[in-house]
Amino acid sequence: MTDPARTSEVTVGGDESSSPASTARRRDPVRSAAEDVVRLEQVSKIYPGTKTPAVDNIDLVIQPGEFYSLLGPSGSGKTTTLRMIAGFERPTAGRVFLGETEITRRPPYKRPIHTVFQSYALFPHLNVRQNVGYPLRMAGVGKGEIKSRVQEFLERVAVADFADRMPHQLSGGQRQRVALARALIAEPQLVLLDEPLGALDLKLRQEMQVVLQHIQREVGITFVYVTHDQGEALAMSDHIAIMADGRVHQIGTPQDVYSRPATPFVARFVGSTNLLDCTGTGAGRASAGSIDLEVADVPDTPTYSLSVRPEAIRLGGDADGCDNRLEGVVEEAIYQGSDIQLRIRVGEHLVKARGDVGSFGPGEKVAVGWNRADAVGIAPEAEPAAAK
Amino acid sequence: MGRPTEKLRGAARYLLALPAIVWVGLLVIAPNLVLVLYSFWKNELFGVNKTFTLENYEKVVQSDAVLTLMWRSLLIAGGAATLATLIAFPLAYVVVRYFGRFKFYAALLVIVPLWVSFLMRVYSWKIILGENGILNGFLQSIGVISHPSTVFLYSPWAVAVVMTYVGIPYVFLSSYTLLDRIPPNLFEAAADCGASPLRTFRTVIWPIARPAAVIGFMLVFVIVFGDYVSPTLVGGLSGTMVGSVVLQAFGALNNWPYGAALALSTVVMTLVVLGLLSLLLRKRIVLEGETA
Ligand SMILES: Nc1ncnc2c1ncn2[C@@H]1O[C@H](COP(=O)(O)OP(=O)(O)OP(=O)(O)O)[C@@H](O)[C@H]1O
Ligand SMILES: [Mg+2]
Repeated sequence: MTDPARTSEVTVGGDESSSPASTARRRDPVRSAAEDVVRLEQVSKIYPGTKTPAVDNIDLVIQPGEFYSLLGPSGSGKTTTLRMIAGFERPTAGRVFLGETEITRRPPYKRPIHTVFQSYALFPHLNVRQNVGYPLRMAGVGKGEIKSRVQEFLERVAVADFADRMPHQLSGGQRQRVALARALIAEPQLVLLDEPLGALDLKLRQEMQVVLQHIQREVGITFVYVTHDQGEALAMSDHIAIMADGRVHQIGTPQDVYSRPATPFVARFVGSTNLLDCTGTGAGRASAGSIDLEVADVPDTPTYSLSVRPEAIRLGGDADGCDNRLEGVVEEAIYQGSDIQLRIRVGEHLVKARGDVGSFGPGEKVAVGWNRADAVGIAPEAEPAAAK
Repeated sequence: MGRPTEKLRGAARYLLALPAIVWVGLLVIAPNLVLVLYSFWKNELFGVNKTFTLENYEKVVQSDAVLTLMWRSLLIAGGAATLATLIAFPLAYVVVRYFGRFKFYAALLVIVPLWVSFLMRVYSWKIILGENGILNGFLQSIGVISHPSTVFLYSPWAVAVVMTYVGIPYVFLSSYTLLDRIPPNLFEAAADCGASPLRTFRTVIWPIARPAAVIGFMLVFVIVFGDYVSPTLVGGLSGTMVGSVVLQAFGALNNWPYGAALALSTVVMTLVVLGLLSLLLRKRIVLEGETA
């Protein structure tokens, strides 16, 4: 599929020159607004009776056919954002567009958007077949066509064998699939999924991740996927919006957000990392407390956080020849099966690293090194809005 | 597991159920059996002759008055139950759906009349419908009528209106409890699938909650059908119902076998109606978070 949306970068409004993360993104000159499936413009939501906004002035652009994830910790406003797209909540401020039409105040039943609810929300009085056919029935599709379309989608999500069962006679994974079929059958422009795998065990979760991805590619419908599982988001998405406290910290491809986090929060939340508070000391040099470092990719602010992923850190002999080479003492070595997770005291810092099983033990002296290209500087936690 | 312990368990279960069995037997089954026996005995001047006879039932079936009253009771009970359901079920729906955190208080307001004595609830309608009542006063003050009218009280209509009022809390209660258990995300799921609020009601809410409405209807029907208090208070002669004759047979006429036959006839009539209504009770729907 050579959909331009898949290859082009996501475009976000606002000042793009201020942060290192935004320089990695470009505005696609040929893309017009009409290509977007959904656009949120400066949307905020303050629930009645609360003071702090659940969603605080966010801009999102979701393009046709993509798998778009909203990733963030609990309470970050993911569900609220999704519910405003679906129409279950009205934004306190801002506007929601579907293509070029504003739909901010359109009721949910008039939006070509379907949801897979976390709790499935299957109709308890209808069997599987009737549940899946319900959106078509509401759309006034003829009985014969409903029948064949339902059969097609039941087979697609592999629940055709349970077509005549009632929802309570299904397992969690089966209900999940039925809910998915119900959301897809009317061929909406957009399917919203709110932690659809949250209630499943790990094995089924991984299985369903693959199923979801396959189906999304197959039917070509845009997915907006809410999760607080960064692994899931990285594995499945074309684009990820990372949220915290109702604000968007970064929007980008999985590689973007992993390798070029826009804020310290993103660096910490997506994967595990070492964050060193640095002060610039001239071109390509910085000091982090008592240690001096060579740096490459850093913002031009006087201070910044330097993110070094544990897997970028070389130990012992491997550290020789690295741009930065420091002496440390192992404080903690945790066996993880395929490798060990180390915490190494380097001056006043505690550095996380990975080592081969049996390589280093607590109390041992070890050389710690990394190349400057493997570390990225992040401007101090400014307003996340400016870091977009 | 060994058989003896299993047997013991079975026995223990019956032992536990014993109080309930005794209760039901003593207070429900026994009195009704007595009633059945009486209905087949002969009535004599100073008591009852315990010889089998069908004459009591013949008398019931052959009495035009009884049949008229039976028919009228059926109409009034059916009408009041229908009206109460038509009012209380949508009311419960609106309260559950749109009253948010105030729904509990709204529900309380609707069922508060249940705390007031039945007699009081009926009697208060005399004050509303009577010749010097509130309704007449109101109609006079807005000039619709010039003299107080007596048509409101003492008619089958008055009984139907009063019994509708009496029945509303029952239908409301049974509807509210079920509607409140419907997970809110079903409303959203229906809207999400393209159903307008009206269609959501028709295709999701009503099919799930219908049993509650039917049970409410049944409750009201049973209460109204056998009632003799409100017909006496607000029905007048033309509003008399079959319960009044039963009372009369046991009381003024002092003809217990005839009274028993009359009473059992109304019971049979009620059971027939309930049986028909129960066809509307589809098999139980398992809501989220419940087991089958
Ligand atoms: N109906 C509501 N009324 C008031 N506050 C709410 C309501 N729903 C959510 N909130 C608040 O808004 C904030 C964002 O909630 P939201 O459900 O969007 O978070 P989330 O990112 O989906 O979290 P989770 O991962 O736990 O589902 C939270 O602080 C929450 O307490
Ligand atoms: Mg949520």
